[in-house]
Amino acid sequence: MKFLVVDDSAVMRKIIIKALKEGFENAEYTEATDGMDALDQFEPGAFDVALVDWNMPRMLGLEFVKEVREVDKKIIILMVTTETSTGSMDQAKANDIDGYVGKPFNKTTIAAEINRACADSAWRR
Amino acid sequence: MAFGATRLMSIRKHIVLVDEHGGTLAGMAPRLKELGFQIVLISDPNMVLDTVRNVRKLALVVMNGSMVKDLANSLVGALKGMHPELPVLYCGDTDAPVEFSGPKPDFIFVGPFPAEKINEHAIALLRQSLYPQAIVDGLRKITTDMLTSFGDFSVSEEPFLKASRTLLLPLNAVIPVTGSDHLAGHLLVSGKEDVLRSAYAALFGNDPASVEVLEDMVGEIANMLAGGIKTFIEKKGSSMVIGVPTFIRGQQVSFRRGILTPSLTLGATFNGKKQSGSTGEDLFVELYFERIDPAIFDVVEEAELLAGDEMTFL
Repeated sequence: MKFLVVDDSAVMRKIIIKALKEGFENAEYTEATDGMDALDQFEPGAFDVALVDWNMPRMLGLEFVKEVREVDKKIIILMVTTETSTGSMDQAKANDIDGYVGKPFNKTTIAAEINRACADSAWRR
Repeated sequence: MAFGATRLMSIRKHIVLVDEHGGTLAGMAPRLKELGFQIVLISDPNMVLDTVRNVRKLALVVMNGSMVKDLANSLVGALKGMHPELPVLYCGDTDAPVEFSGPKPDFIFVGPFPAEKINEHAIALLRQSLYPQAIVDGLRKITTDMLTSFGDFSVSEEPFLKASRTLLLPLNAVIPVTGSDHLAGHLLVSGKEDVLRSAYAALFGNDPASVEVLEDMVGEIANMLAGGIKTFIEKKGSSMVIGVPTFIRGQQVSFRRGILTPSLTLGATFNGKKQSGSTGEDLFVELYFERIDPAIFDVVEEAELLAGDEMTFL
């Protein structure tokens, strides 16, 4: 499975990647430091799952999601953030994200949420 | 002590010590001043109510029980009538214990009266008053879960009140937290560079490239702790917004002069691959509520914080 991990915190990217390595065999990952960097590295069909932070410099996570959804309807997108209020979640749903991982999280919950989103996505698309 | 009042708690910095003889309670002042409180010492009990009316932002009243019983009774009743939420500590007399017929002090301490013993009770009352037990328990649980997921950290059992704005350790991240009109404050995480370096290496298997990476680590610890507190607050039916971390390097400097509320501070030590020469607490988590509606913490439904949740990355 190919992951795109988008977070301005290098430590958080490492934590997420550590969880991915332990949760998924043959996980491949690409790191991006913000939405702009992620867009530069993005190609339609290149990634199975994107894990995206909400608040980042230069380009917010949701702005990145909007751009990506224009060209790739299949990629599974999960927001990984402390923005867990109802308003934020509604905003994220309106942008066609597939799931939500609230910080703090653990390796079990992040893997479970990815698996759930993959299963739902396979059903829907 | 009741915390049902809807009035917002805000900066409360003054402590009134009522002691006809001056000396006994005056001995409490140095320690309380160290914590950042300002002391008003009154020797005439008849002046107490006027003083309490005029002193803003009262945190605590401590009364020496050597005064006559009727006066003690009426004084506590009048104080509680004026400020039901104001904690009152009464240092009673073993020879002539006062039977309180009306409102009672929040704590009655029976002598002998070494100042340091009275201060232990005074500081406990202050902590309960400023930070209800629910948030104390919540912060300890969140901090323990979070830090143990970042490494072999041991979190101190009891948080303490810290009033000065002095940064305790060199690498710091401060995150503002707000919640419409019911909540405002900051979360501060401070760490030692060598300890964070060891924790990073133990977690990720390599050394951090620069001190900026360690700042990033402190920021993420703070961010995730704030996320845990936000979840805790939301389980109580309220909302909280987490701001962006600010990083500060330096120790023994003041990080923000405008804030006066004492912080609820938890210390932690790192035991895994600890650098030699590192002594004392290795990391501090400080929660400052400049404004908090204590009614938030009256909600007991879903109060069990993150029960069963594990936050281990290892």
